[in-house]
Amino acid sequence: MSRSPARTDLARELLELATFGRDAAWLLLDDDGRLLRAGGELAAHALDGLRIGDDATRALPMLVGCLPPPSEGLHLPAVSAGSGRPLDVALRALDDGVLVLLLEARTELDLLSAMQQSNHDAELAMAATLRRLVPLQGALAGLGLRVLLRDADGALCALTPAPRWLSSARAHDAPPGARLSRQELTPFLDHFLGDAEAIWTADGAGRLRSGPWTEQDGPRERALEAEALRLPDGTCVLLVAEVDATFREQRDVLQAARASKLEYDRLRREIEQKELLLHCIVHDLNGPLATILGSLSMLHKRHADDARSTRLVEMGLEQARRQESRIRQVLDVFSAEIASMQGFSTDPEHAPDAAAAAARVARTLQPAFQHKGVRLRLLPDPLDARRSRVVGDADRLERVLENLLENALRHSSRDQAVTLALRDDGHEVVITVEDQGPGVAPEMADTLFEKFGRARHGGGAAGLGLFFCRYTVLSWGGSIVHEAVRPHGARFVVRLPRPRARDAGRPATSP
Amino acid sequence: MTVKKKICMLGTFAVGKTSLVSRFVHGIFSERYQTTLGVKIDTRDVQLGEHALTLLVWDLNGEDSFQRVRDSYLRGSSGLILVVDGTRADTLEPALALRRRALELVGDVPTALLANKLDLRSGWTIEQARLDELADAGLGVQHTSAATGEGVAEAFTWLAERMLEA
Ligand SMILES: Nc1nc2c(ncn2[C@@H]2O[C@H](COP(=O)(O)OP(=O)(O)O)[C@@H](O)[C@H]2O)c(=O)[nH]1
Ligand SMILES: [Mg+2]
Repeated sequence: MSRSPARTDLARELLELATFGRDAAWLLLDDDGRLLRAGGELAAHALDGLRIGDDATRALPMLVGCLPPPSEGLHLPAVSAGSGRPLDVALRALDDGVLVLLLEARTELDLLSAMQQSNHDAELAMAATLRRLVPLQGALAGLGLRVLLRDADGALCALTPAPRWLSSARAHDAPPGARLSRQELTPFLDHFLGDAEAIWTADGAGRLRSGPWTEQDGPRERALEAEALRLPDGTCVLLVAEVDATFREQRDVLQAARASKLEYDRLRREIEQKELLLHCIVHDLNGPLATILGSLSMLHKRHADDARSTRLVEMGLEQARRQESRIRQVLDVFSAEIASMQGFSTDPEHAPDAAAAAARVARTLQPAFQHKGVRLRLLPDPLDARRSRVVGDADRLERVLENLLENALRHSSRDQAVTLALRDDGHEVVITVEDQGPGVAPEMADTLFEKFGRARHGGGAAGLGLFFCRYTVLSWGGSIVHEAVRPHGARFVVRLPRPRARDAGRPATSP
Repeated sequence: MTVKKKICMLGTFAVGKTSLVSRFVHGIFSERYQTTLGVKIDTRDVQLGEHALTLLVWDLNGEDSFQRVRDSYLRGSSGLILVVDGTRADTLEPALALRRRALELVGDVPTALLANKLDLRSGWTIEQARLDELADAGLGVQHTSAATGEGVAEAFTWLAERMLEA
C-alpha cells in the first residue's frame, strides 16, 4: 500500500513553506538516512559536499531518531550550518524514500517587503515568487508534478518544464520560465482554468481539483489530474499530476465492477432465453401426447376382446403415460426454477391486480396513441378487485400488456381504435388486445410467438415482444393466442389463472 | 477562422461512447472495453458547405452508481450526443436523465440520440416506438454501429448542422 500522502497535497505544503522561506533545499533519503537525491540551495546550508549514498544524518544530526517520519510528516526546528540562521526542516514519507525540505525561516522584514512588493508591482512579485520557488523545481518534478504559476495577467509561467502534451499549440516542452497563454493549453485545461479563476481571484487561500482526464501523448495516453491552488501569500499555482497507483487501482476496481455487471446481465438474459426455449420445447412435446393417449384409450376399449392387441395397446398406453409424467416433472421443475429466479405470486393477497395493471399501462401509453391519432379504449369488466387478481408479477404483467399495446399501436393507422378488455372467466381472467390494423398474414401466424418471428411487416422489437409475452404468460401457467378479426385486425387473448387461496401449505386467508 | 463547438457524449457505461468517438475521429474500433475515467477530449474538423467547424468531442465517463458526471464538464456545450446500447433497453433512461441535467446547465442545445451496436441486431431490445417518440420530440435519432461505422458520421454531421443553425 502507498504510504505517501496525495502528491498534490505534499506539493502544496512545500510551496506554501517555500513562499514564506528562502534558500530552500531538499533531500530524498532512504529510511536509514542515506542520500538518494538532492536539489535546491544545498550550498546555503553547507550540504553541497553530500554524495549519493552518504549518511545524511551526519550533516543533519537532528534527523537521528526521526526516520522514517510518521505519515502526517514532521517539522523540526534547526539552525542552518551555512548561515547560522534559524531553519525549518520538514520531513515527509514518500513511496520511494523520505523527503527532507530545508527552509530558512524568513525574517519579518523580508515578509513585509515581499508584501509591499506584491502590492506595488505585480510583475516584480512574480519574478520574486519564481526565484523563491525555483529551488523546489527538483522536488516537485521528483514528485511527478508539472507546476505552472499564474501571473497577474492570467497567463501561466512554467516553474517545472511544461511538457508538450499540456499544450495544443507547442511541438516541444516549454522550459521553466516560459509563458503559456490559456489558449495554448489543451482544451481540457483551458476549460478547467475557467473554473480555477474563481479560486485564484478570490480572497484567501483556496484549492480546486479538476477530476481525472486523459491526454494523448503520441501513441500514449496519459491519465492526469490537475489542481488549482491559491497559497496564503496570494501565489496562484496550477499543479498537474499523472495519476498514481491508487488511482489506477480505483480504475481497475471500477472496470471490474462494470465488467461483472455487464457479464451478469448478459448471462441473465441468456439464461432467460434458454429457459424459455426449453419450456417451449417441452411444452410442445406434451401437445401430441394428449392425442396419442386419447387414441390409445379408444383402441383399448374397442379391442378389449383381442388379447394380443390389448397387450400392445396397453404397452403403448403405459409408455405414453410415463412420457407424460416425465414431461410434467420437467415442467414442474422448470416453473419452480422460474419462480425462484424471477419470482411471481400465486398468493391471493399479493398477486397483481390485472385491472389496475391495465389501467396503468393504458395511462402510460396514452400519449403515444394520441400522437399517432389512434384511439385507445379500455374496457374492463366490472370485476371487483379481488376477482381481477391473477397469478404473476405486477411489473412483468405490465410489460406484457405494454408489449401487446405497443404492437397493436405499431400496426394501427390514424383514426383506428385499439381495445384493451378484461373479462372474468371462472378460474381465469381473460385479457384481450384488439386492433383494426391489417392483421397477421396467414403464413406468419405459425411463427408469430417465436423469437424474431417477424410477425407482421416491420418485425424488429415486435418479434421479441411477443416472444417475451408468451414466455412470461406460460411461466405463470397461463396462455396467449392470436385470433384474426374480421374484416381486418388482430386480437391477442391472454388467459391468466386466478390465484387460489392455498399456497405453499399455508391455510387460506380468505374464502 | 474556424468555429469551435463543444459536444458532450452522454450515456451510461459501456454503451459505446468512447468507441463512437474513436470511430468518428480516428476511424478505428476495438473490441476491448476500457472504462473511461473522467474525461477525454478529441477534436475533428468538419466542413459543412462553406463553413469550417472544429468539433471538440468530450467523452465523459459513463454515469452509474460508481461514477458521476461532473456538472462543470457540461458547461459550454453546443450540442449533446446521447448514446444508448440497443441491446440494453435499460440504458435509455439514464441517458435521458443526463440530458435533462445538461439542458438545465447549458440551455436548449441540439441533441442526437444514438442507438448503438446496430451490428448486434439479434440482441436488439430497445423499443422502436420509444425512439420514434423521441424523434418526434426533436431529438436526432440515429441507429449506429461503432463496430461497422454505420450511421456514425451521419449522426455527427446532423448535430454539426443543427449547431451551426443555432
Ligand atoms: N458489437 C459492437 N460492440 C460495440 C459497439 N460500440 C461499442 N462496443 C463495445 O462495447 C464495449 C464498451 O464500449 P465503450 O466505447 O468503451 O463504451 P463507453 O463506456 O460508453 O465509452 C466495448 O467492448 C466495445 O468494443 C458497436 O457498435 N458494436
Ligand atoms: Mg468510455
